[in-house]
Amino acid sequence: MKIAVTASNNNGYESEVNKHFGRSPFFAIVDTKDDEIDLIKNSAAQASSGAGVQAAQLISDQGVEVLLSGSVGPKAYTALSSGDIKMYITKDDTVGKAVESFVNDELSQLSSPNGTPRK
Amino acid sequence: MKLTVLSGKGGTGKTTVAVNMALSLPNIQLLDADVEEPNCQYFLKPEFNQSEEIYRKIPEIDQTKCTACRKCVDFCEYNALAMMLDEVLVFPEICHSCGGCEKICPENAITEIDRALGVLKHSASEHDIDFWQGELNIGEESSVPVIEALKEKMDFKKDIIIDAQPGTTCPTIEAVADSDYGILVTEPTPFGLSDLKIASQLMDELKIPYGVIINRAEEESDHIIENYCEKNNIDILLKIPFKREFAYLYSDGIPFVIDYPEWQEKFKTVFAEIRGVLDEKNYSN
Repeated sequence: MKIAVTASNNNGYESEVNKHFGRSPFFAIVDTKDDEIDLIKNSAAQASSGAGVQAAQLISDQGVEVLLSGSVGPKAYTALSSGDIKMYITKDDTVGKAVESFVNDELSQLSSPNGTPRK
Repeated sequence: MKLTVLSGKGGTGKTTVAVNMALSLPNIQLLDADVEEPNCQYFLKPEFNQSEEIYRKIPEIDQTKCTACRKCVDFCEYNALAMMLDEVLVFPEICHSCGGCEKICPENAITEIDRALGVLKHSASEHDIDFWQGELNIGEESSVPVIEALKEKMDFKKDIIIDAQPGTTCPTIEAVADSDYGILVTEPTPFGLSDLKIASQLMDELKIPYGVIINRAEEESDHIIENYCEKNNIDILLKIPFKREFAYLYSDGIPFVIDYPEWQEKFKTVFAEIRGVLDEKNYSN
């Protein structure tokens, strides 16, 4: 399955996890099938409004089923839930560690938005 | 005559000027166009006898007609539409009501429905001012449609004073755009000057004549504003001093011209001066 992790920089599995979803500079898209990792730029980062919506659209279009992040705002939450994308909270500092924590069932799932919108 | 009271910086005293001026003149209609937080009411204490809901249009998707072509999602500049699992999601709060998605849908799957945006309230208060207040609903992004609706209430048989939103963005521009004259209220501080410059540039762009009122004026600091106005040929219409007594009255919601009626004469003079500027302008045109 494909997992998206919010990333602050473009450094493969060593990329720093970005605390927030909507305006995260990058998304690390990891395919658990073959451990392939792809860092994509988040076009929503500069959106004047609805960054979370655009970011959700972006990762949904990548076929992502799971999102790992620090926080997800209300509109992003609605969009991701509608797309059946499960959201988990991670406090890990790198993408690699976050994915490992997820695979080991150590992360808790979000049941409501926990982020505030930001510009 | 249509006068708009604006500032660059917030908190300089627009409402103070708008309300006290309105109370000093006969035959006034006062429109509170600071629809995110209308404050004139705290000084006029109006009894509202009329209220009107304002609506804007947002899209409603008929999912049975939708073929998931995504034309609407790709079109929307504001990310108010998203496609998840072949269904179009609408985010009304960030929709700008442009109507574009409805036009672009090839399947006629989009219709426009009303969304409550705000309300206009009216009172002919005991001060004999024809007063309209605009209010934007909490969570809405754009004040502009409420201000547009408020302006439709203008009564041209009266002299109209519009209390605008602070700043120089779209809602302020909507309030001042077709006014005859702008009163720029400022304070004698570096921040006051910095934002006054932006506001005066706005008025120059709009080609609307304007003058400045310095609120909380003090001998030691007025030069900050006076120097700028002199260099740029901007009239200073009035200086309202930084007086503890005025602050007390303000905090009690009492317009200072009530307790200091000599200030009504000063506002009348300002009004006459503005009228003179406009008459001269019309004469020379």
